[in-house]
Amino acid sequence: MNISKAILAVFTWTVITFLIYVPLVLVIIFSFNDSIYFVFPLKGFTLKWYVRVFEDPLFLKSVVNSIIVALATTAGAILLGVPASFSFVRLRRNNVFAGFIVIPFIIPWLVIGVSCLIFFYTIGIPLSLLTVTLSHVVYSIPLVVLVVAARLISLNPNYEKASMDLGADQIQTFINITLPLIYPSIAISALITFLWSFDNFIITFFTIGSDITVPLWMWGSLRRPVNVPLVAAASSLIIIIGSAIVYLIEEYRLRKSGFLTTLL
Amino acid sequence: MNRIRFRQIRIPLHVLYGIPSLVYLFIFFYIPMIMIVVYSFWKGGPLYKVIRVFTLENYVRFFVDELSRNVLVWTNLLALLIFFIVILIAYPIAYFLARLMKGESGLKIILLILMPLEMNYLIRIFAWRNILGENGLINNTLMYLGVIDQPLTMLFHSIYAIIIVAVHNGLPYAIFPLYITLRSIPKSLYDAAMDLGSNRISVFFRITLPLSMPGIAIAFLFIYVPMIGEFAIPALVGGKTYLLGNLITRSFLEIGNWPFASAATMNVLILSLIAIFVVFKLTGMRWLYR
Repeated sequence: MNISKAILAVFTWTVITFLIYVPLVLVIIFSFNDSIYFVFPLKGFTLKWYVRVFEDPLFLKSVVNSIIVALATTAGAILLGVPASFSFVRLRRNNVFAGFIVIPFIIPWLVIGVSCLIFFYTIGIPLSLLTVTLSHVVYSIPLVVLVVAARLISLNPNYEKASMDLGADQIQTFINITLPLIYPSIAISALITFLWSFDNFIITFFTIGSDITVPLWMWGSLRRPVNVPLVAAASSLIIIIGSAIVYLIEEYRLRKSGFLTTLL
Repeated sequence: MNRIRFRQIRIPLHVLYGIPSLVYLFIFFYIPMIMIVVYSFWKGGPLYKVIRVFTLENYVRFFVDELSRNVLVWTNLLALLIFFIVILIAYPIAYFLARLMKGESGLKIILLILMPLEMNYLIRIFAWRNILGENGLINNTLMYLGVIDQPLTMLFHSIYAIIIVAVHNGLPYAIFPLYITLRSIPKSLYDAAMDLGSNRISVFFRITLPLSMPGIAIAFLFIYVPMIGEFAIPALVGGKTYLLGNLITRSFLEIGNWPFASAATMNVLILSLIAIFVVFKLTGMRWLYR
């Protein structure tokens, strides 16, 4: 029993280390390496890739664009998704309604990207950051709905009933009772939506036209070997900033969250 | 006598809240889906030529044309293979974390496993390029040690690289659902089985495995479905490997045959919908908001 347990423990840690973490750590290590190839032994410590990446006007533009898209997507998804999550809680056993909301979330992003491209082309909206945002909101609505609905379902309905009994109307109850209780789940869904939209490559690839976002800048740079260390530097920045944000989410996950909130 | 009085139809408030989202998804998801269906039945040619005549030739091509058929078959086989590899690796890990670790300590490791999911997946593909590539870590180390004198091409620009990266991507999506389902199996079931004289192998196949099927089904949804539409992994590490996602991307953006590309997209859509339908039939939808 103990031997098999030890074997499993070693297996688990080996997989976590080598299959999940080593590749990411190597990116960070090589972003400081003074060579355009990823070769051991390391050539020497340098910050020049970081300097260069910030001198690259295309990269700076892509960061600004990505932030604009991610903010707009988050705003849209929250505005549409949070009210819809209240409907979802009541109508979740209605398979047609639930399926209608959930399917855009599970369909491969390629399908969303391609169909939005055809749609925008057919009705004559030129491709731009706006079309990117509109297509990102598609998968973000179900994301927000599911995360917020998970919290709503776990709420004790007596809080709202007590508030109504004490003479508050529906709006007062919502603002003073429900909203503070579900606020963390709204924040977390906003954070996930922002991260996903910022990182989204597949849908953006189809709906952006000639503009650029961070994932598209990476995609383009990866095809030119000279730029590969710049991608390493940019990736390291994203990994580090991303980890900080993720740490915040983890805190929430450990306290209280549903299945999907944890998985995302 | 019941009369239909339209003036008095009242939409309940809780339905009203959902209407903006439903309208949005209808316009920007369901109408585009319908457009894909329509396009896939039109006649197409290269350079964005579209003749609005009904035809089945875009679909027939997947049965007749050997290249298109192979792409469809291979993409499916590869996605299934990746799913099986991921399950084989993930199952022991989930089992260890859920059943052999005490208390909630498994959950902390789960969060450690889930954390890289927040990283851009292009970064993760890029990370593997540095390890598997021609000038990558493995080749260089092996050459440095004198094991080989030519870079191994097997690792990079090959189907193996796709499998490695896809397994890396899929692992967290399998470990977590398996962990949840394995953890929810009550210990008394095991005690009862052991009391009744069953051995550990039969306990695994008669209790653990059947009860963890929902976890496997959810993992299928998160691994197989994205994989049949994948195009960035094969494009960046797959060399000449040509999957359905690449076929779609190329037909849309390079060749410009939108009707054929739409039919190819329909393949992805139909396969995903079948997978979604089957998995939801097996597991219900509750896990989505639990």
